[in-house]
Amino acid sequence: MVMKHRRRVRIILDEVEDVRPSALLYMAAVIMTSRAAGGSKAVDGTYPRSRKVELLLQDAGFFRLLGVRHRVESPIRRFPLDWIPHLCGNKSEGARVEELERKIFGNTTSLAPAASSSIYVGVTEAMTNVTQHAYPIDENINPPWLRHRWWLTGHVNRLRQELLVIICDLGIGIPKTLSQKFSMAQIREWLSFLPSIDPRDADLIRAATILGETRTGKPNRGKGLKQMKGVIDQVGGGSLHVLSSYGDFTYSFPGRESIANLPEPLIGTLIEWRLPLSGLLSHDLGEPR
Amino acid sequence: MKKSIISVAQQFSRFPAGRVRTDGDFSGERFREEFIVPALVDQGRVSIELDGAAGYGSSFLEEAFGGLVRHNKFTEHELRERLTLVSKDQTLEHEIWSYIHDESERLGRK
Repeated sequence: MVMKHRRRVRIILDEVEDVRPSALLYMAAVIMTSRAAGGSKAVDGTYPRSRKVELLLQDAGFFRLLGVRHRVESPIRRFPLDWIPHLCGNKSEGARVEELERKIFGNTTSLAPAASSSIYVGVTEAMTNVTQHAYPIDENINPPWLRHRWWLTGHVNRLRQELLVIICDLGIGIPKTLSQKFSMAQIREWLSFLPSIDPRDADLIRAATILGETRTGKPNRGKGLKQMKGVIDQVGGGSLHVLSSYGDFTYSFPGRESIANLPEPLIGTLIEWRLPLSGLLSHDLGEPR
Repeated sequence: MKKSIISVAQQFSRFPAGRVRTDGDFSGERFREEFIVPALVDQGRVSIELDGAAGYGSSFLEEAFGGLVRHNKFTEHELRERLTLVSKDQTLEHEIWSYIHDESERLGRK
């Protein structure tokens, strides 16, 4: 609305009773981009009536990222979720990944070194995927501020004993990226599709997660999703859920894949990466701090 | 022939990430151009210590090492003679040599 019709938008959150972390991150991305295009006053909103939702928006760092005033004093940690506060960047920034690991696991809980390295690699490769592929150099990116831009959040859920990392961008999406970089014949080969079958967007996302397992005859590029999938196998649990354009792809341990088509396209890509703490920690998290 | 030792974590960054310079400050392209290539040119033999960094993504490794074949015209044979990789993680060494090998095969430059 802001970008197409140059109109101001107010987001009414009054009636919201719950919100998925990935939806929250995506909303933050859209609001920031709309403001970059239409000015800081292009989008505003109301506080949710629900205290639970307001605290969630606050704890997740949604308000802070958007420069919205906090109304409620809140502890940084609230059982069962320890949040990775919403982050936004336009580079592959390794130091921030270690910083977020420290923030959510603290100094008293030690990640197994291999797990720490796997999280680092998974997240930095996801960032690199965005900077490399999401906003092609020959595409007109509007607003220009958006180029290479990613958003990240997540949390440790002590009840479910799980780490969730969410990363999104507002680029051209995996299906379009893949179709531009590789021939349909190559993509069909990765997917073991017959020549007459046209892959859907979800199939193209699946192809992106197996890219690099076969010899492509091209420089090795875009292996971020494959590496994230590999960590799931390595730690023996978790899932990778990717939404992009009309595609909806999920990989979950052990080796289960499911695909679906979305009724409306999602601009860009949204990735949810879940890993079990049992596979990541050198000892259990124990009682809430 | 002299030998140069490069510790990624101590001399470059504990946080290597990204393929090219526009991806970030500690990209594979920057490591290759500012550290590996000058050392190979000046010293002839280079030992690269990989331990101590937070981790290595495939984009960083492929650009840093596969890029030696692609951009700097080294052959796999030359690199096997002159480049030593040091790490407790042998899969990392294997991964790096696979990038060098794949790029050599692709370009027919063995």
